[in-house]
Amino acid sequence: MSVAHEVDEEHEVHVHQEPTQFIWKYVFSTDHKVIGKQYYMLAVVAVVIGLTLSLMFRWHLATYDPQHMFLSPDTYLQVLTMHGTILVFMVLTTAPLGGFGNYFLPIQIGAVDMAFPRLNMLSFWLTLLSFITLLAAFFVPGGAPVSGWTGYPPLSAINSTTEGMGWGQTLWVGSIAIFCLASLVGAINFIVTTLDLRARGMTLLRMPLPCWAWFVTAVLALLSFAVLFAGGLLLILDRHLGTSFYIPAGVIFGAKELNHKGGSPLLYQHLFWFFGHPEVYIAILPGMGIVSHILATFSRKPIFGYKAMVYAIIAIGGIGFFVWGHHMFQSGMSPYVAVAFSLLTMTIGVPSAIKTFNWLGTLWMGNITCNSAMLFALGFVSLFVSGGISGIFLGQNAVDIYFHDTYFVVAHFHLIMGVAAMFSIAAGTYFWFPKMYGRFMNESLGKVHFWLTFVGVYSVFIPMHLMGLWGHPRRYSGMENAFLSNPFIPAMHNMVTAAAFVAVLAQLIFICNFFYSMFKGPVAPENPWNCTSLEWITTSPPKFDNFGGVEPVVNHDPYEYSVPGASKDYIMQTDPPEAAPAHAVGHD
Amino acid sequence: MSEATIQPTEHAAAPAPAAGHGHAPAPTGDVWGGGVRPYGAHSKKFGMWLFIVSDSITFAALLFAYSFVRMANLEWPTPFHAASILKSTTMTFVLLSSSLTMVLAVDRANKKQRDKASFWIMMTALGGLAFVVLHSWEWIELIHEWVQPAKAANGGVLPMMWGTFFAATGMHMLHVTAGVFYLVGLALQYKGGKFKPIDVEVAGLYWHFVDLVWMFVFPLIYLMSTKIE
Amino acid sequence: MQPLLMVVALFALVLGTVVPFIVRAHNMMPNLISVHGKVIDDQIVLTMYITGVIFSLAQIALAWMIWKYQSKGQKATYVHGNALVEWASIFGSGVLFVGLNLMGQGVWADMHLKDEPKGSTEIEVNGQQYKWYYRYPGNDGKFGERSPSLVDDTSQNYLGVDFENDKYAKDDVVEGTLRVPYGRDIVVLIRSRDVIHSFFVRELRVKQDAVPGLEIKIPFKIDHDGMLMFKLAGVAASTLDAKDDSGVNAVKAQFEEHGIAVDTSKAKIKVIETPKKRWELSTVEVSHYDAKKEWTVRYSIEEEIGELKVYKTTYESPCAELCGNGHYTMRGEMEVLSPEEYDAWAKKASEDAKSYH
Ligand code: HEM
Ligand SMILES: [Cu+2]
Ligand SMILES: [Cu+2]
Repeated sequence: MSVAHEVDEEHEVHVHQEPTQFIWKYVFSTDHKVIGKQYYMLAVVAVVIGLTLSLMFRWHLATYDPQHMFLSPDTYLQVLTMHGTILVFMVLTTAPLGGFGNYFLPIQIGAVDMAFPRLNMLSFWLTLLSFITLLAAFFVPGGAPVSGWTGYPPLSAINSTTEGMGWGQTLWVGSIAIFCLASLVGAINFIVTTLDLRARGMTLLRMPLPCWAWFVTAVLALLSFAVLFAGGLLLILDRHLGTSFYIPAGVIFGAKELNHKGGSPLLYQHLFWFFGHPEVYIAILPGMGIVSHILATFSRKPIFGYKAMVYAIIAIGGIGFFVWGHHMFQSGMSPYVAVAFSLLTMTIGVPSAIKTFNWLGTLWMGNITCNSAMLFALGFVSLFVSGGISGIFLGQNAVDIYFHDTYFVVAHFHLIMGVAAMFSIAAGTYFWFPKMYGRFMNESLGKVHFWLTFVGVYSVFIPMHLMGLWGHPRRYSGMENAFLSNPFIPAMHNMVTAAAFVAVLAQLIFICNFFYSMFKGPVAPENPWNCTSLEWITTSPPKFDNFGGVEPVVNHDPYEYSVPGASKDYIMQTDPPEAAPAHAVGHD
Repeated sequence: MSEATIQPTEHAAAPAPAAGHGHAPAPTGDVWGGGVRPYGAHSKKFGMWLFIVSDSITFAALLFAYSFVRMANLEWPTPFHAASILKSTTMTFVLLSSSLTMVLAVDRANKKQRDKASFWIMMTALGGLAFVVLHSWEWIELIHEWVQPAKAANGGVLPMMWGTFFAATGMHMLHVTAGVFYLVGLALQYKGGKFKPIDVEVAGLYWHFVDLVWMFVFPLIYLMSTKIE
Repeated sequence: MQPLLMVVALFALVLGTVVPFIVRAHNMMPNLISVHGKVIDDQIVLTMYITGVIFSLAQIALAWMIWKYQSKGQKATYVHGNALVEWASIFGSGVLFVGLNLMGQGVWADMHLKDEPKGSTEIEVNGQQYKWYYRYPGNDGKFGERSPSLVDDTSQNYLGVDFENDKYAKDDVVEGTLRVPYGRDIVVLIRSRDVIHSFFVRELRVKQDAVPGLEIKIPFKIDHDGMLMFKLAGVAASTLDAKDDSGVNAVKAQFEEHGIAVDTSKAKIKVIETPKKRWELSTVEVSHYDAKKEWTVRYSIEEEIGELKVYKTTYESPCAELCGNGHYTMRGEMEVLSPEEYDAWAKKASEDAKSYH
């Protein structure tokens, strides 16, 4: 049959051998596992830089004295801006998706690699380029930008607005634009891989939840970064070609009217948050997937409401595109539109509530082991609840009048995005480290790491809600004014700073543990956690082609733990169909 | 299963010859057989579609920004006189014809005629090149004729109209230029026996997309700002 | 060990948040002086209660699961979920969240969707790096024309008001302090001349970005009853010059003059330091002793004393949108006057302005 013949020729295979030279094997590798580790390492470097910056401004706030400031006001804002940008883009977007996603998505669905290995490599190198561009902003004349991670114009659009708005801001936009390209390429790869490369028997509803999360995250990235790219492009044009997309008429700087005319600062905010809200879910969805996976494994139970979890992920992703206006209630946007955005925002609480219920349901009647991975997963659930609760305040347009741009918002998004996502990364690391490096991480250090971090972050961010209630505006580098010099505030700043030091320094334990265990940790077997998904049927670490020449065939749902009548307390997805007693299979 | 099917490949769907190919074991029962491409699309084609989705969003955002500022600015200049419209119409024509040659290229590629296919790809690239040249020429003229005086009168600030004009057309030109490189590279290697018909088809997809974008840019940016005497 | 620690930690979390947030829900925020703010505060407190319950239940449930089902070698129960639970959580949370949200729409509509009440006092609030300037229409009740090209900082025409040619402009008053009468409908017209700023007065529960190119109206009204005692505090503070007892006695006398008996065995008033400004009260400490607990308010005497609330008259308006390196220094001042005082001041200021221009 000629048609079949055609297709066959198309799929004629180029056999890729494992490269032997160092540079092709570890640097310019197209192997998804190497790229995943590269992403992960990039995130480790970024997190060290980003958290160091945060300690700098925390120290500044704790020791604040108008006569002897630790950071000058402009340095403060530069450090703040870079902290936010580095952590949001280079850590929370790269580690869970680029790092774990790259490494484990193909393995969990039974593929040998991503769909486009070379594009995959390109995506990593673009990300690295973007990171370097961003860091370069520190070293150009004028220094890093001061306009916050949101970079609102006109502040970010006009160099003369304030010191430090020169090349640093341009590099910042450039870095974001490169990052958009990298994410676009990466997203295409993830989507195609998930839909096209699943092993025999791996139906969509048999994918482990992290795969679903990575998939939906990639869809979000595909659609949202495109808009940020356009927004950034226009910002560059405003900055350097003298256009005025974001600059209205009659703006005055240096006591002089600028020539710009006709733009609107709100246009940028719409474009930014159309990206920005999906972006926060890009940061958290993979975490939700990873945590679900770990909770099921260490409760020895099927995930509670697998399908509901999948639909919740999809719903969060979908609704997430229609709520961006909740960042703009006070922006001067039409107040009618604000009402619509507010109502839509509240509906996103529903899938979030479902996820929480199902996590609790997964623990219910389980057989729970609290190792480091599980502790971080449990911590994630607690943090997600705490951070989601403040979302219920902020999502109400009337209530947000008071809270917008105060420390309350800072506390909200740090708990739910910053810290919860970090917890999922830590959980994933303790969980997958044996697979990635063939060795275990040290459990005792892991627990110390967990407890210092858990107590530390809550002690940082719960008080910040109070400061927000008190009316402390965010992004303030000093407290000269009467209100903030009230003794309550400096006391809180001191306490928060102390806790922040504990929480951040605790990460050193993690990093030491990580690198020590890479070489000296106890050797791990193939499936140390008795987990069911496909990454555990192969060697630790997996071979170049993942499954050592065997094509996995999937016969079971992903979380078949404690099946009554089965011989073990778990059934691997690839176990033969007979592994599960007939009555246990297939119901939901 | 042959050795090769489990190697990572540039071709996405190396493993598991899809169900229905004859030599693959038929999937059993209700267990889905794996390796089947959804929508019957090749991975590369699917990837290109995703790129197109994302890229059209970028263009949509740009055109949205354009409409936004245009609506916010009551006196919007309409500087394009007949000569300019003539030129841009020619450009449109050139670009459209290049889509046609691309169709031919894909057709020849599917008929396994490598030389002919690569010839038509080259023709397409030539069309793209002509477009870029015409467009740059026009840009230069416009800059002399309108932008420099306007800037001089305005203390160096590019008026809104020109800002959107250069943003939108520049972004499009960037796509055409990248496309020309893409096509030339493809044509040369395709002739030399590398790549598959599907690669030509994917390139075609890209090219038609770039054309399609122009069909939005042209009326929105040019025709709506025609000088009517 | 780990399950136990988890339980302890989560209970500590619940206690540590519920106590300050729920028990003191009504006292978390700076005092309220606006009418619409009451609705916002009630909404916040209601949300605090509802989410407080959800939060506590969820954290405690988590703790309970970890404790109850910690591994002791038991076999986990094989369940895949429960459709009822899913649907219940969908409807439960949906109705709750959306319902809560709808309750807040009334006050939003009052502030943003309705026409301002007739006869409102209009005041322009202008942001610029790093200062706020306020413009009052003057005795003619009309704002004069303004144009960016007229802005001239050296002659202190920060707003570009056309004092020269526009007759409505001549009596316009431009000041660095926002003066508002209580008990009247007020509309502020919020604008910015450079980057985005945000007009925020905590006690008013008003926050609105000042966006270049836009003029955004926000109506509010300062609660007459709430402000009944504002003068008391102001006068009292202004007489506090010394660190000795005379200051305390002066405050006490002020209270008594207004018919509030100050029981010195229960409430103690102590002057910590001399106020820097006439209206500033951050220097007065009022300690209120009660049989069981003792609490101290150091910042101002705006806490409750017996039945009465005592307010200060000047409020800070910190810029709430990042606007550059001096963002943190950008704060305006709002002074609340009685309608009579306001009228007298406005009339005089307008006449002064007219004669000056
Ligand atoms: C229950 C669901 C949630 C609701 C209702 C909600 C609501 C909101 C609202 C209304 C704001 C704007 C507050 C303001 O600026 O005044 C906000 C800010 C933010 N939220 Fe959420 N949120 C939710 C969950 C999340 C999640 C899951 C994440 C991230 C993983 C997240 C990350 C953020 C971030 C990063 C900001 C601040 C952005 C900035 O201004 O810098 N939120 N949230
Ligand atoms: Cu959001
Ligand atoms: Cu400001």
